[in-house]
Amino acid sequence: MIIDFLGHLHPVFVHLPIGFLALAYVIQYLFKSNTEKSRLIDFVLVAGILSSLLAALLGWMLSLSGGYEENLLDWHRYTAIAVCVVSIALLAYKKYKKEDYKTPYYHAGFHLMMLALLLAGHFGGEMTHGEGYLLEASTDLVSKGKAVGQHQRMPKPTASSTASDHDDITEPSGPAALDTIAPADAASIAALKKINVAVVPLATGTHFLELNMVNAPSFGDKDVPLLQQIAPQVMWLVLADTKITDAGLEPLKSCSNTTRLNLKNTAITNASIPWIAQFSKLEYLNIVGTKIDDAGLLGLAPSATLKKIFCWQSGITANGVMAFQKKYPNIDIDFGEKK
Amino acid sequence: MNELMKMHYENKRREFLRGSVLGLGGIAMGSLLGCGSKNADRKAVQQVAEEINKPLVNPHFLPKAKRVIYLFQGGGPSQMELFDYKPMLYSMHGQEIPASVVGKNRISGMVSNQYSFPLAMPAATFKQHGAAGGYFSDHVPHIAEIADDICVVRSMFTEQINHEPAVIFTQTGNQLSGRPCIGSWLSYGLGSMNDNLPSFIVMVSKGGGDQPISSAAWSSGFLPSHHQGVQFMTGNEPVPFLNNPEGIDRMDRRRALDFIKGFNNIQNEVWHDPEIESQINQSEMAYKMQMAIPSITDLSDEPQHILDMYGPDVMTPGTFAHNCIMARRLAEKDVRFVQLYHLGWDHHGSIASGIKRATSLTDQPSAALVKDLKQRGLLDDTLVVWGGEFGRTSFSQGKLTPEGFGRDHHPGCYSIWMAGGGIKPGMVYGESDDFAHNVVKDKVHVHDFQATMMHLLGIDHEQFIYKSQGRRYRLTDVSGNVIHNLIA
Repeated sequence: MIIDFLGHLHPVFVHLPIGFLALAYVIQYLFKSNTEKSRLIDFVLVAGILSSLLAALLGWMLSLSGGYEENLLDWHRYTAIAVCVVSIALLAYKKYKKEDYKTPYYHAGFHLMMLALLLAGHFGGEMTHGEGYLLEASTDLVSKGKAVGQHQRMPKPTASSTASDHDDITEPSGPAALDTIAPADAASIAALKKINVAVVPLATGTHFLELNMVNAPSFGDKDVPLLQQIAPQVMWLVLADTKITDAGLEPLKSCSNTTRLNLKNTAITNASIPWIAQFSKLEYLNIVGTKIDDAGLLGLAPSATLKKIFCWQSGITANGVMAFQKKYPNIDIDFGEKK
Repeated sequence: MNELMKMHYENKRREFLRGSVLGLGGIAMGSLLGCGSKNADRKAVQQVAEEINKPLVNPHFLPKAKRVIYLFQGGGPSQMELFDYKPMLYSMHGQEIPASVVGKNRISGMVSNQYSFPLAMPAATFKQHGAAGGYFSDHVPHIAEIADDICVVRSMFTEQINHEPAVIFTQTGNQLSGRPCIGSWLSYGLGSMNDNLPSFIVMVSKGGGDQPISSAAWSSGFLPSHHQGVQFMTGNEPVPFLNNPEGIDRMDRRRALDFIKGFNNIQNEVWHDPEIESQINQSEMAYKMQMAIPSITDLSDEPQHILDMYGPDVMTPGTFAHNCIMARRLAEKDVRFVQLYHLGWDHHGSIASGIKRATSLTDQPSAALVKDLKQRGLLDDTLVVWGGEFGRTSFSQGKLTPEGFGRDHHPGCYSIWMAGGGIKPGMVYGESDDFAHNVVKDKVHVHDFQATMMHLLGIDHEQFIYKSQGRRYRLTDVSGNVIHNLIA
């Protein structure tokens, strides 16, 4: 438990030796030599060594929690140990040589320490941010980088999983009942869209469609053949305010899965009643503003599924509604505002 | 100026200069070293952002509602004078509200130094209406008529006690402005059926009251800005500049727009700023609206008996009645979200006359809208919501005088109603205590209400997410439950 906790402090403390040892390097090669500088380097090196030992210890604890990719972990571990060893050796050599420490060995040691530091840092970075992080910096800056921001201290589980597995939660599958139809013919959909018909899947994961003519008021009988191919997929059919007539509606009776049929403000008459009766799964029928009258309504042998009829401003009268209601008490028929 | 002050000021100047030099130097060095993002980087950033934030396009599951008309009643309509009948308030008129009832409820700064909180009997009488026998006050006779078509929720509660944060909370799910509102979420998520009209339209009625409302309530927040609500004006011309200036015909407009679009596309190639695409979208929409709007706003094709339903104000542009009939016409054209704001429900004083005035402007048109949608077969898949940002206190604000008393803001309990779009009709949901002060049964939090609304539109509110600045956001933030008992 405590080891786990301490291990999790590794990403915090690991930045100290990076800073100290790099600072020592900068001081060594940026400033003129004098006693003050030598003492400063000693101090910074000691700080670097102590913090690198601490970071290494915490890193070892973190590695016990497992889950990191072994190969990378090994590289990170050995380069980090090299940082500790080389920096200690460097300081020891400097102290041993006293005044004349500036030999080629000393400089070689300093460069080696810096190299080990860079490598250890690089491997550590690859472990947290994913392999190839440095090179893909531009695109990863946003995608993986952000996702990693949330699981930075989480071990990278396996090589095959990606950060994007967080992002597909917005795509759940649709309900199973809707999943039982083949995809609609793409060419038909394209042709319908071309004449401004809105063709919209009813939900994610289903091929059932809503067809809505709100942008295509000139849709008429001549356009009906475009629907033939996709008739089984059409669940909601909104033909309101179009130029469709009885002749155009006849072929549409092949829309065997249609549950909502909206014929509001069209030239549909009683002649369409037989076709309407053949929509076997119809639940909602809107004949507001059509020419269908009482005779038509009473002639309708509705499917067993029909629940609602809207017939305001059609030829249907209150008497017709009453007579129909008597015959089919379970169908809710809306005759509009009572005056 | 003494010595010390002098040093003090000098020090400030030096610090200012030093800070400026270092700061500006740093910025300059950054650009010298080439730290500014390159074209390709910006493109990559935009592509990744687009990939993460894909609009839903299709609902998660089969929707019951296709569009929403939200009749927002700003100011805080009093539940006790409208839908929540409390006989106890009549019998205890003038007595102190029991401490056990007040509990830990927030009270506003406006009444916090009152030494007495006398209960005030509602300035209304109540009758039962509809098959479910719900009580409606005499202020809302027309809404009472549609009792069988609506569902009154008497158990709403919110977290905010002041107008602005409460409105923003109801609309965006967060009390601070800056997040997208419901309409923007839907416009972004589901898009539009109608190519020629905006998917989200806002109308604020004039003449209601002086309650302020800020456009943050219809802001698109971090969503692309063409999803913000398009506000119709309240004058004779709801959308200005529909006609081309003299000497400019429609083809000239088209050519000009295409030319400007060309420039915008060149800029977009360089900057990859989503706002450029929003700009292009907006211009195109404005062009299409030039054609589509006149047929929407011209009421001359409405028969007189329909106009009469909405009441005498219907022909006056900017009134709530006028906006209601406009909302119906927009719903007929499959506009996804129409939001009406009616203000003037903030009755801190003289609630009796205030509520009379507010209901005289809203009762008949609200009911007419529901009836009109219903007879056209539109109510079936159009969700109508009527409600404000909070309720009002059962005790009097200030001195309790006959006729003269008012009520303060009260977030702990209020009433709204909904109709159509898959909501159970003819129902009263939830219950408040004898003082309409606390909810005692079937609590509905604002987030629950939002989650339920999303559900009716076929959206799982927990999976409808937009990632912005490293955090995933939802309309319902981190809470909200769908109230399945409200759904037919």
